[in-house]
Amino acid sequence: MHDIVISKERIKIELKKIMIFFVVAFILNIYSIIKYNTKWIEIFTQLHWVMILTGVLYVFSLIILGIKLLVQFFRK
Amino acid sequence: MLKDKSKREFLKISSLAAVASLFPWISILAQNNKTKSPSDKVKLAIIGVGSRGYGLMANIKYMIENDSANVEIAAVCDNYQPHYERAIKDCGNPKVKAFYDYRNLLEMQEIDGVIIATPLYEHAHIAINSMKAGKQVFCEKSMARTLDDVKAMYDTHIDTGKILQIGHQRLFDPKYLEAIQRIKKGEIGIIGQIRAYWHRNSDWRRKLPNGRPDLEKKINWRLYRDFSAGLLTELGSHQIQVANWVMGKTPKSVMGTGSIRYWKDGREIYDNVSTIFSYNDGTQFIWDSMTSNRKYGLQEQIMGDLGTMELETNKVFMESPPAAPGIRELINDIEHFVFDNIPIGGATWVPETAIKYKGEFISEKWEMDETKLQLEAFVEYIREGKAPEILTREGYNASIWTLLAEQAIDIGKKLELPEKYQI
Ligand SMILES: NC(=O)c1ccc[n+]([C@@H]2O[C@H](COP(=O)([O-])OP(=O)(O)OC[C@H]3O[C@@H](n4cnc5c(N)ncnc54)[C@H](O)[C@@H]3O)[C@@H](O)[C@H]2O)c1
Repeated sequence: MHDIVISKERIKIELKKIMIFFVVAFILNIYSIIKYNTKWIEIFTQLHWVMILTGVLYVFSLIILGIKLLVQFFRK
Repeated sequence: MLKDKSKREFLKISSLAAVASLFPWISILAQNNKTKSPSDKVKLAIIGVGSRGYGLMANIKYMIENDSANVEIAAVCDNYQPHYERAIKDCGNPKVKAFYDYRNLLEMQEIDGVIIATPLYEHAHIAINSMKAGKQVFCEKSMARTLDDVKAMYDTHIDTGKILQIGHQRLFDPKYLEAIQRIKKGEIGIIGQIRAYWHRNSDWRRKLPNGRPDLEKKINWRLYRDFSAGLLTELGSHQIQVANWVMGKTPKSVMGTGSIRYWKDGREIYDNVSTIFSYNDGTQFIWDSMTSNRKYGLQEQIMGDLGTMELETNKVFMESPPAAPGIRELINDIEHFVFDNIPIGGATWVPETAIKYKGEFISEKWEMDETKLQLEAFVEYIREGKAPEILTREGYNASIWTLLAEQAIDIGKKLELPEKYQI
């Protein structure tokens, strides 16, 4: 079996994606503070939820990527 | 010096004693006057060392071992041989005096106070004779089997000036004290209803010694009407005391119903009881008890227009719960949007089921045992020669209304308290 090599480029792309999802989740937290009229301190106190959301979005992106690859594989 | 644990307890108690006007019976526990001088040792006797009496004895032993009270178990009394012998063996005092007949015990001049934990029908004459013999009295709840006996006990307490403390330990339970303090401050608003229940799924029987069916009524006295009012006096009296305490007054009337629904085993007391006590401001206290289902267990629910307190489990539920963090609400909304079914047909209204909200704790968790605290207080009251009158009144009112509820059930009528029992 071949070793799986993850290129530097790939790692950079994945880290960028995670950063973007973190920013999206962070903005969602700010949006929900405004929408539900809760306390601004939640920007910090709810950071754990922002992290969880980041993870969820990232997993979603992986699932979508997986589906895309599968479709490409069968079309070949 | 107090040991470390006692010191911590003492500090917590002190914080409650700060509201001494609400709980005058607690302040004595906060006074650091626990002397060790042998001449100041309080000498106690325990009359009736069955299940509860043995437990109280264990509490006193614990107090002695932990230096939380300068006290001695000087005498024990029980008219049932196995309990009599067990008490001598386990009381922790090799010089303890033991009696089968409590009247002989009352002749011991050195006894300062007696703890009575005999069956309900054996409370009144023992308590009355003890007070008349100059002893301070701690008597287990409920006070007595009949209204007249309850009143006679109270009258003797007034005439002799002796302490008559009744074993309603919730009066010493820190979580109840904190809850009542917050209720009195108006935290849960105007109380409209109090609901309490005590549900068990057991026959409530104690096993008889082999080959001794003649001991049935001696051991299972709770199941027979000459000796007990069953669930009402044994369980309900605690919760009626709590309801009166919350309301700061006694009910105006009571009605109820009872039946032997499940345990058709020769018992005479109801195994299924429901009662409604009404207060003059319109508040209703609904109490029920059964012995063939235990899903809901034991609870006192105090329901105000701003919130509900559930005292046994130390929880408060506000009517408008504190908002969840915004992001949680957003996630919830998204979840509902994605996963909730779109109803096709079915009910056009949403049933008013209970609000799903887990509430907050009323008070932090306490390590203290309220039964021990009430005994420690009894020892201190003996030292002072008096106890706050409200303690006796709480016991009196709980006992009187418990027995009145029994009468209301028996005659199927709504009853008010006859004037002769008002104090
Ligand atoms: N506060 C509480 O939470 C609590 C809990 C349990 C019981 N209790 C009360 O404690 C009392 C006793 O209940 P129990 O479960 O221990 O009953 P029990 O039957 O286990 O014990 C009663 C004891 O009293 C003895 N006794 C009866 N008549 C006597 C007499 N004339 N002189 C001396 N001893 C006598 C019996 O032999 C027995 O050992 C009852 O009033 C009960 O309501 C209170």
